[in-house]
Amino acid sequence: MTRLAALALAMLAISAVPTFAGQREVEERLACQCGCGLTVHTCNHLQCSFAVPVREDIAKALAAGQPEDEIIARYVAEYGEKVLSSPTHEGFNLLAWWGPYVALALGTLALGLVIRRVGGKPAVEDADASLGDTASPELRARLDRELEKIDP
Amino acid sequence: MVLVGNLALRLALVTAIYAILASLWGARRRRPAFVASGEHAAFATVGLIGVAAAVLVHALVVHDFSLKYVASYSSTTLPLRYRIAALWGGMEGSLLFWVLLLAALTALALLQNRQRNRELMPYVTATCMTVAGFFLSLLVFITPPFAQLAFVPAEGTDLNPLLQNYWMSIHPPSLYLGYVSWTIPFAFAMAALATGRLDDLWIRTSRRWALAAWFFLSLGNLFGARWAYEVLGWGGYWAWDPVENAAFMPWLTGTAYLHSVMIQERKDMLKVWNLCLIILTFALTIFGTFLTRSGVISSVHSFTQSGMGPYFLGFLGAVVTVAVALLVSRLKDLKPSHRLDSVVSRESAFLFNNLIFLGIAFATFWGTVFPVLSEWVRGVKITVGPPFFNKVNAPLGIMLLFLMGVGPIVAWRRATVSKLISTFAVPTSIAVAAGATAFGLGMRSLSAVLVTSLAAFVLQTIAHEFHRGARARMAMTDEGYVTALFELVGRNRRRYGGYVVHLGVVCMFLGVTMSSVYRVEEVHTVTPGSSFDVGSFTLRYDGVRDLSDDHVARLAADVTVSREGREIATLHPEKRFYRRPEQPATEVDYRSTLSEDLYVILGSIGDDRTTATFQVYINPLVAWLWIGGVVLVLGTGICVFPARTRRIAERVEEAEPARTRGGIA
Repeated sequence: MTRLAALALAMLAISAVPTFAGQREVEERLACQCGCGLTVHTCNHLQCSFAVPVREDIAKALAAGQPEDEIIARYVAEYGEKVLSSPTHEGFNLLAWWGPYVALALGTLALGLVIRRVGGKPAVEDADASLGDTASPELRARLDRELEKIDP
Repeated sequence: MVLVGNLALRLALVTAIYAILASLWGARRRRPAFVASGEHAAFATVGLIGVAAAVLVHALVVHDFSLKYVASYSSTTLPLRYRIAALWGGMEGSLLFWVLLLAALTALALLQNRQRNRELMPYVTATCMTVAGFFLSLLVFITPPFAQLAFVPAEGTDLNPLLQNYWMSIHPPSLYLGYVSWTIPFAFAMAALATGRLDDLWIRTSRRWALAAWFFLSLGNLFGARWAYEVLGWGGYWAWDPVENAAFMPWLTGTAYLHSVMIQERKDMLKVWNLCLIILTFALTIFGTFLTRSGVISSVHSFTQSGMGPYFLGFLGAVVTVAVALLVSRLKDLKPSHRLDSVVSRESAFLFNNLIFLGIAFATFWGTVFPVLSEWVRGVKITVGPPFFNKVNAPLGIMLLFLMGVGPIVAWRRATVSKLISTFAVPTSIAVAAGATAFGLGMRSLSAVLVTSLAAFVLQTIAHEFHRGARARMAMTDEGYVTALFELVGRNRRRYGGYVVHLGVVCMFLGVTMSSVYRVEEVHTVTPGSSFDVGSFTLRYDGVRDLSDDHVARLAADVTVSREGREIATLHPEKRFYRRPEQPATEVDYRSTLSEDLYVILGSIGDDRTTATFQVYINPLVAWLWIGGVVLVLGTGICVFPARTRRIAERVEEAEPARTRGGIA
């Protein structure tokens, strides 16, 4: 049993794929389909039935001079969009890329409006407001200095 | 024993439901006896769930394979520590563990407040027991942990080999504690809404609970990252997997909450906002549980698809609906007594900080659910993987780092232009100098230069805050510098503990950025005795050893590492083959220093063991991610531990009602 297991261990192989310029980039653009949730480049499964042959194929294609985009297009044609590790930058997928920034922009706008609407107007009288119009600039400056000392 | 476990779970459900009803009835009818009875029922629930959990652990320890759960997640060769950890290794056990933690924390909160906040406590009990009741219902009716097999197998299927790691003993418990602890501040928020006690009482009372929840969630995420780094063998620590995202989102909204409650406590503002944040944070903890267990989104962490998704979604919907309805019904009472004085103030900086936290949380949520959205709308499956999250969140993270430097040095209420210029002159100069130095040293990545520059900015502001505070104390007292520094922290634990947490986060930013941008990665196939170079290291493959035992077959390679001709380490990366279930795994080995990690994976061993293939990574500054984690823990500890003056006040407060009771008696 131990020998069998050791043999099985020895047979497990990450093939040592020769690397070419752009290989990592292409591998990173493709999502591994084994369920690991990683890219073809980072898939950690030793005998991954997807990542290992794809890495070899990418190396061969790059060695043969095939452009990176063509390699990617070939995989998209075969597996569909899901083989891309990120959504494309077109059509409905733009929503994925821009959604967070649009939400952030709207949030900033809302925050700006709130600050502008309430800026400089205390809702109720506080210690500062109770100074009223009678407080001299010197008194206000002194108060600010004192407050600064308490909590800079 | 199975009967005891099943009975305990059913009784726990009954006591939880009774606790809800008695607490609510007692609160509405002003009947303290019912409120007390509700609390006692909550204590009984903890005990009963404890009994059920003990029965399951006992079954795992004694190999009772008549139980489906035990047969599925353990074996006779599984070491004891993993048999115990198998309690949270499967769906049913993890739910039981979850509800056990929740009930225990509820009991702790009830004990902590037995003399305080009596008006709020019935609703706290009812809220916590409602959540517990939901989980207990799942355990009783949907996915029972004590289901029995028709025949008893001689051997179990065993725990997933990836889980057979010491991180298994600490990562899930800390993550679950983080998730579950958020229930307590949420329950106090619901109690505040139900009773109309809408001042900052609920926030002050649950402040340490929120900090503890944040602390454990931080730890859970960090432990998970470390686990991935050590076990998964891909040289990284965060893969933006949906379940990782599920733990990250409540951490983000919870961090926003911890910042914005300071504004409410100080200025009596942002009441609605804080309630929204705590509702959102709690909802995201349930959403995380839904993601892991629904099978809606594929993840490496997912439990088997169970059809439990609709239950979680229904519960999530009900919780959010009730919470929002309560909030809306109290809107008129939630008017702030102060408003923002100026757009250039610490309050505004906190608000922008909140916005960025929520922006990152939304981007993470958006990327996590977008594949489902795409399939619904277009009928096309797509993948939203790590490159998307890195691209979208990196700019937001950099903005957050900037705000982390700005927040502490902008004045409360209103900052004048002259004050701003004088405050920002030094940190900005240091930031520019750091950025220029980094560029001069050959750093060409924009994000790396920006992070270096902003890290210097934040570090200067933190150091200056400590220095200025110590000098102020020295001016008022006759303390020396070091004593003044310690006294300063001791008397303002929350503020200076917060700065220490910021320090930890800066370290983490540096670690993550540099290890991502400047990682070196190479694959080499070599024969025993031969060497290869990676970066400035020379690695010599000395051979392979068989370390197999009954549980796992192991082959360990011996690799000697040299630098500039001097041997500096011997690494032993392994390949493993688990016998039950038959599954291969890697065991990486690495040499970690403050400047970089040399991370070696044994990729393969040739049939006749004459060759071995190694995948080698150099991860610059990655140690600072973990160091940052330790600093973060330290900072949170400083925040949580009460200041000396407050401890005395609390003791007086505790003693006061006792005296009153004594008088009445």
